[in-house]
Amino acid sequence: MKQSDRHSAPHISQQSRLDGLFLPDLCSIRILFLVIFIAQLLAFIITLAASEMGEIWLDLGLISLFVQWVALASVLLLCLSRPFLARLDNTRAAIASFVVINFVTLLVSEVSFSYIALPDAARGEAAHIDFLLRNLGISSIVALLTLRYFYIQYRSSKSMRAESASRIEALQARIRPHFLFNSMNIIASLTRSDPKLAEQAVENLSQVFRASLSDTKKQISLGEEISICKSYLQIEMLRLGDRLRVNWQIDSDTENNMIPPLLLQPLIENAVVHGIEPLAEGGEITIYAQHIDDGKTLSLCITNPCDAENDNCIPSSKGNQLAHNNIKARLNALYEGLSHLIIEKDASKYTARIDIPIAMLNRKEE
Amino acid sequence: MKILVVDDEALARERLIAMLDELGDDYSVVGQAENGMQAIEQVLALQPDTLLLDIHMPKMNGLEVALHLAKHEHAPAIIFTTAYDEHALAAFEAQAIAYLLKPIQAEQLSISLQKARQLQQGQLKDIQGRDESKRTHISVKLRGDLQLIPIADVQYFRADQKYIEMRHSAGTSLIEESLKTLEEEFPEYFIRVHRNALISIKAVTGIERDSLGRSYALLSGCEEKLDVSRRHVTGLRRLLKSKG
Repeated sequence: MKQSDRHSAPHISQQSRLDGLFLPDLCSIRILFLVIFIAQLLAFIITLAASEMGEIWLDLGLISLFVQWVALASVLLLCLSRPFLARLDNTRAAIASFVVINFVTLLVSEVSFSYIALPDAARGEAAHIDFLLRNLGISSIVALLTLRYFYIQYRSSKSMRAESASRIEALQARIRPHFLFNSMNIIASLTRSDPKLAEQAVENLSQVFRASLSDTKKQISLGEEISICKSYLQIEMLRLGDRLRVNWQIDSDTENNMIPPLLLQPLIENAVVHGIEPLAEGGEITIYAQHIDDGKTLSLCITNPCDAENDNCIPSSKGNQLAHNNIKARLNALYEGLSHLIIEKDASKYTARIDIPIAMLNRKEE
Repeated sequence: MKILVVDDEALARERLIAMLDELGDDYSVVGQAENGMQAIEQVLALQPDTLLLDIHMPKMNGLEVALHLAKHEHAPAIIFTTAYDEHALAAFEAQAIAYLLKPIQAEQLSISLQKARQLQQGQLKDIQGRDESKRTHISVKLRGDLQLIPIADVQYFRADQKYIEMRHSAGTSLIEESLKTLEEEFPEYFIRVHRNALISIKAVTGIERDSLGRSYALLSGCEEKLDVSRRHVTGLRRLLKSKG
């Protein structure tokens, strides 16, 4: 496993190493803003604690300048050394970051001590040492607190990610027993009457289950997903005969988009089980894949006929809901709320649609 | 033994028929049906001894077929077949009702058929209510025959001493059920308007008041007006308002 990682995709292992570092990407705007905010709070505290009456505003300006210099220079250094830090374990990375921050403090203190005009009385050697030590003391404490804060953040987001990943896996592993046993029954029947068809059914069934059991993190192209869906539908067509009719409307330029596996299949299965099976005469399922919004969004859409008399499109039916919740959870985990599953229903048609911004797909592709 | 094979999947029926064929001359398949309605028609026409009955089917599922047939005088023994059905299977286990799991094993099939005759129809009654799906039809016994009235065609139920009078688009029938269970089973179809009557929500068109202050419900496709008791008038008015 490790070897193939290194062999085929070195950038991925680099990415996963960066994911393992407790320090967030300090160059991101959000974190930068956070650091500036913390630094400014610190400047306020120092001013409030140490300033003489009447001098507050002047002191606040100077102290802010000093603290922000330290903060921004530290952020810059840590951001640049991130690939290096990622190679260490988190304890060492924390110590290294701590040293970097104190080093920056020392440097900025040294520079400001030599350039800022101070009364001569405060310019002795002892005052110099005193100034440096005080600043190092403050920066040590603040660095510890900040690093600790980032570490806790990292831990909680990591456990959240792990939790949602395991839930995804559990949901995906939920093998639909109805489908499995019905398929087996069909194959048993075909072995007598049409061994060739039985062979095909076994191949198709294998492809569907291989997809169910595959690595959930690995993305596949839409074209591959469609091929899985076709295998699935071929089995269902054996079962339902001409009651199941399928109409594919796939724009060929969409097939290279990378999507999580089994995004489409459960929706198609829903359309078959809840939309077609209850109808004695059957019906047609239409599957669309297209780029909309000037190519900014990938839109996947599955429709099946609705028939009020047979109540075949109750969106709240349990099986339906299970698949929908699963897909919603996966979309949420992967695309951070920017992609949605939309269910529409009118008198004659039931539609399940997934829209995913292309930008999110490409980001995940890396 | 005359057997009727009921399954909506052609290949599933084919397999069962081939297996029955191999079990010997004792068993003969007299017919096939591909949905619940057809199954009942075939049972009435062919009088099979045993039904191999799939649960998941369009147009009335297997459980409902069994419930209706249980009222029939020459009800066949029933063996359910299903790929997987947690809820139904739990009920079957509890009631010792015969079932076979797909893909069906030849040996199991033969054992079930041998036992088939001893199976008690009465046990089927207890499945009702356990199944998530509700009945789609009301069955009426008609001179030893079985008539199925779709729920949507029923205009009202009115209790009349021992029986319930059921008015539907094809006439009036007497059934042996209780208004209370009907009301609980089909809350989306019927509304209570009187201690002794449920009327179809779909069919009700308005309320009429006579000079004595009594209220009556008007139903489409039905010239008769039904008493509405005082305590149910408000509920009915609210319903009519929401219907527009």
